[in-house]
Amino acid sequence: MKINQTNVKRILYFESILSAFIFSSTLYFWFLQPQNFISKQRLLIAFILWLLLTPVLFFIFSFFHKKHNRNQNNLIFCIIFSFLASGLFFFLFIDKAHIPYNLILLPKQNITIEIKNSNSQQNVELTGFYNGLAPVSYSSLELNGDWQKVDQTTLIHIGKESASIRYSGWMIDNHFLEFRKNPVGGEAVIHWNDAVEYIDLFSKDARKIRLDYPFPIPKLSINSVLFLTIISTFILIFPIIQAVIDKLSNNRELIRFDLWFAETTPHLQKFTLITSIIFTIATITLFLTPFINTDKEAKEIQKNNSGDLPNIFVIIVDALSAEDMSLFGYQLNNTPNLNKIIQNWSVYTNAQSPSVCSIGVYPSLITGHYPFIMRPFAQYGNQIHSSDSWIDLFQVLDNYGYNTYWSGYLPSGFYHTGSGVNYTFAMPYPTQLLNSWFQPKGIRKQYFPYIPLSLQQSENYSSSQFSDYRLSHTIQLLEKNTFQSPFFLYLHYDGVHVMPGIEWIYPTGSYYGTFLPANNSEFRLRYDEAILNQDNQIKEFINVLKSKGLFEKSMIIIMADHGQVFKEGYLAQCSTKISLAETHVPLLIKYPFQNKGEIISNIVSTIDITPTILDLLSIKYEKTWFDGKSLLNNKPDQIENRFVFSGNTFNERYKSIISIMDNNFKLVFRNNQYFFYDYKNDPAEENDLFNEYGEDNPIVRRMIDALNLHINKIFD
Amino acid sequence: MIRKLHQKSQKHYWFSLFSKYLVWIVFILEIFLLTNLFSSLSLINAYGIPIFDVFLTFGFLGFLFLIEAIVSALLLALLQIAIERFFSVNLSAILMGLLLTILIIEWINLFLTEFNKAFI
Repeated sequence: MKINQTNVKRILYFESILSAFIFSSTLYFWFLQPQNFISKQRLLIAFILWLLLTPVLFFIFSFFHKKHNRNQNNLIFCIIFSFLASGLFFFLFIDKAHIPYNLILLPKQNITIEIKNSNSQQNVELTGFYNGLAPVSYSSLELNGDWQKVDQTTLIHIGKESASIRYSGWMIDNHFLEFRKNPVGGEAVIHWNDAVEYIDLFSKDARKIRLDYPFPIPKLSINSVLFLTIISTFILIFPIIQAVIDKLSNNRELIRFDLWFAETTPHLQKFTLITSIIFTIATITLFLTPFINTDKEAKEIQKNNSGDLPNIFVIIVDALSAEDMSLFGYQLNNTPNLNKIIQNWSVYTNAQSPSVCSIGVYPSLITGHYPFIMRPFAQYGNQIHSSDSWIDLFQVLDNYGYNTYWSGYLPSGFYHTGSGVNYTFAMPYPTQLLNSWFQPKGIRKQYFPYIPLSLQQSENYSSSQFSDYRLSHTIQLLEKNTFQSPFFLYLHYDGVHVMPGIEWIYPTGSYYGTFLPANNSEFRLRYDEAILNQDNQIKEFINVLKSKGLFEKSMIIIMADHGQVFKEGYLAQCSTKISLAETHVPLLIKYPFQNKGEIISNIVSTIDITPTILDLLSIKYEKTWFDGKSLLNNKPDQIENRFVFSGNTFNERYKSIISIMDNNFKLVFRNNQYFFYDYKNDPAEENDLFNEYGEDNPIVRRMIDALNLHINKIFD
Repeated sequence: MIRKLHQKSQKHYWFSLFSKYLVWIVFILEIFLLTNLFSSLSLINAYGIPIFDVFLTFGFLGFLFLIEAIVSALLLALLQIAIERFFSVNLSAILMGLLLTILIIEWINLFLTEFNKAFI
């Protein structure tokens, strides 16, 4: 096919507009969009398809130009065609199930609202539902039970039977869900992505309930659209300017902007060369720094201590509730191995977690302070770096001569509180690169000023990495003698945490079906099977320690970050209830060379671990540095009137949701209301005794005063 | 050395293209690096991170960028040569236009970052 050269030039301008738009958009999504918002595999496929499509588009353009030789309209035609083609391209090839229209940059929501069975007539009016969620194409809305559609924005459920709404799609206008109920009420359970919320519709003042979107909306979302628009506009402008200039100059090409590049490039060559040399020198120096230990004092301490120090293991099984362990009296025998293992251990039967959400626990444990705000990593990091009375357990142990190993979640703010970590292991990230970046034991060991974007956006968990991946991987590393003594090993793994999804699954391993037939979906018994599975994993872990001669002289702590609560077959963690089953966690400690078991029944908190470890190592500290108390020098049985606190640290809206407990009673402050429970006799916390006891009751009064003091301390 | 490079680039067309793209991509990535540095300044000050540490960290990042720039420039040069060979059309202006676009946006971003208003 013979093609006119002038036309070919124009055709290629606009073909390149399309190319540039798709190319830049692909790069943009690839590098800047949060991982779970867009499928990178699909982007890659789309990009490859576009590459294959290029010659086809070329001939299509050529055909149109040849056929309709109307040069005056070619420009507008090509612009429109380019945009349409690029839009069509994205629509067809990327992921139309996930990216409809302008929702391309928004996270998809999965929400299920279930109205529970009730003895009385229910009248639940979901007025804000459509307002808040605004279902659009490509979203699905599934109604089960008796729902009446009143108008475009209102659904009503009347009756005693259960009913549910399942929504999967986007929230466009508002990031909140709002609905009303009739005072007769009932109970609603709301699953919002992987969070669960109970709404008590009997509550007198809850006529209008508003649930804010509990996950941070990335700032990228709105600005990204702007960015994309600007970049595509700019890309359009240059060829247009070039075409206009060509036209005005009668194609004599008087001015070409690429000539500007040709003239400027030589000047930049020197600059590029010099900076490249500087970067190379910095990189070589960086990789030499692990061999330069500048901290002579620490080196001296390490030299003196290294022979005597016990290895310390902190094993955190995510979401393991003591309320569901036979070790602590649960009816099903789901911890047969632990029952034997802990014969000579210290067992704390009333250990409470400082937070019902994982994210609040890590910084609390390593600082010995209660969590005080949402997203606590950055805030704790600031405290550690700015205040002498805040310490980081990793830093202290690192300075004391320990090799510190860490495996757990890697949120983007990790570097704020991870400065004492020497090595990471069993991570779903390239561990070697991570370790080289952290530069253990080198000049950079105290600082993590920057974690590369590529690491922050590494792949998510795959199913094979869920559950016991980290523990089994740790066992392998122990067998290979990877950890260098003396070491402090902090392992927070997924444990018995439910795998979120439409069909929620527990990591039961080979124990699936032990307590519950396969087709039954009662969460709690499946959860108990997962505990049985973990019990077996922990047995293997202990066996490896024994076979490697690490057991006797080590300090081993087995615990959970928080628990799970089950109510009428549904599960919750990180809930606003701060239920006992969520806060009551196992705390099992084997001190070095311990040969006699003990049971400590008084209340303790898991934030006591940091002062306990310091005491064990005889590291001096001020008691005012911690909210926690050492379990060694302050035997809980000797502590009278101790209060421990638990909070929900997931979102700022929960900051006023907090509980205080002593050995027998629990006071919860939620929605500006107090709830009081005798949790020893009522572990399910079904009877609120606040009105019965009254605010002036001495126990209640003392708890309210202590709680107010605590809230003022941590939130002010 | 630069003279030698220049002479070499005159001899080989692909190398001329490669070096042209490399220079500009490196320059663009260095501005991106500066943007990162500016946005981290408050953190660096708050934590009292030593200058030497900043040098090492961002120097390493720059080195990674350098490698990425070499690969990108090579791909761009090969792409242009391939298109010229198959379609007999010089796309240099378009590709450089794309780089110029990114450059301008980066400068805007850098300018805004200095005022602690990240553009993206």
